Amino acid sequence: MIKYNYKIILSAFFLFIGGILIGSFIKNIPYFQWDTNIQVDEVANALLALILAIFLPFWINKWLENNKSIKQFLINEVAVFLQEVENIKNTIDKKYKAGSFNQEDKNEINLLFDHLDRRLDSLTTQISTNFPEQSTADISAIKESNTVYWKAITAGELMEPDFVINKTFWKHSLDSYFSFESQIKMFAHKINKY
Amino acid sequence: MGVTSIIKVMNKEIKIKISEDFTDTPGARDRIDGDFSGEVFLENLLLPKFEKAVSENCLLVIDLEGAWGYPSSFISASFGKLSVLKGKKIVLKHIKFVSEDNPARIDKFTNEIINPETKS
Repeated sequence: MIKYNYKIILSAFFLFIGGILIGSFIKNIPYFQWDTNIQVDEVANALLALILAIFLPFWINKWLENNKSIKQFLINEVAVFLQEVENIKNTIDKKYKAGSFNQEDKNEINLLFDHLDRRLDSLTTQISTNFPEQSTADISAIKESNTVYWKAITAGELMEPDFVINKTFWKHSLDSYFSFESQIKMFAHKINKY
Repeated sequence: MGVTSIIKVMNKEIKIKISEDFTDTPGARDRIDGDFSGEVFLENLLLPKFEKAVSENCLLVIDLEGAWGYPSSFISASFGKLSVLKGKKIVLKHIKFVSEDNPARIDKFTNEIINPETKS
């Protein structure tokens, strides 16, 4: 009990001393005197300059940081899309090395392309939402490239029942992949410049 | 014919769900390539129903859901060939695609109708 009271008394004492010190400090610091001869517009100018000096760097910095974050996110999304395209290429590579390409493999390729469409749709929607004017032509171009790659793989002999995966088809699929890959990477660079 | 009658006729729809009415693994281009080719789909299902839709002035709704994707060979031999046979304008007027699980799919079909590619 005595210990408890001792703490309260000590806290009150220090609070009292602290209050005296703060009051003394405030009493003696220089403060502004209002000059009644000053024009209102001069005051407004001064206040405006003060506000701009304090807040403008903050707002600009925030805008720049947001823009950079959005672009980085979209570029990451492009990288994910590229991985899905690469997945198709790797599937074909695997089948070529195994020397067979049955109906299940063809179904798998069709499904992978179907998923690729969804991924591309999501990606382009995000880009056009954030950069609607800058991205229009680039989005059309990447969609066209996607269609070209899809046709290169699925328009010809692949879906025929007696299809045998040979060196010619494999090379053709690789050429198409690398062409598409290059365009996807350029697309990422373009986003960075928006 | 009154306005109400016209509206009723245009509201009628003929439907094809490819995965149920034909196959969920659409495949090659030509009839000789198998039962699930684009040519078989066109001759047995798509063309008759399209002509019915045109004669009755209604929509042919093509549901694309439920399939393992659509290769270019199939789309070209079916919808591309239909566009070549009938003309893209009338095909686009009477066909509507539905694909809620993957709307991006629809573009491939529409593009093939607008720019059909003939196999060389």
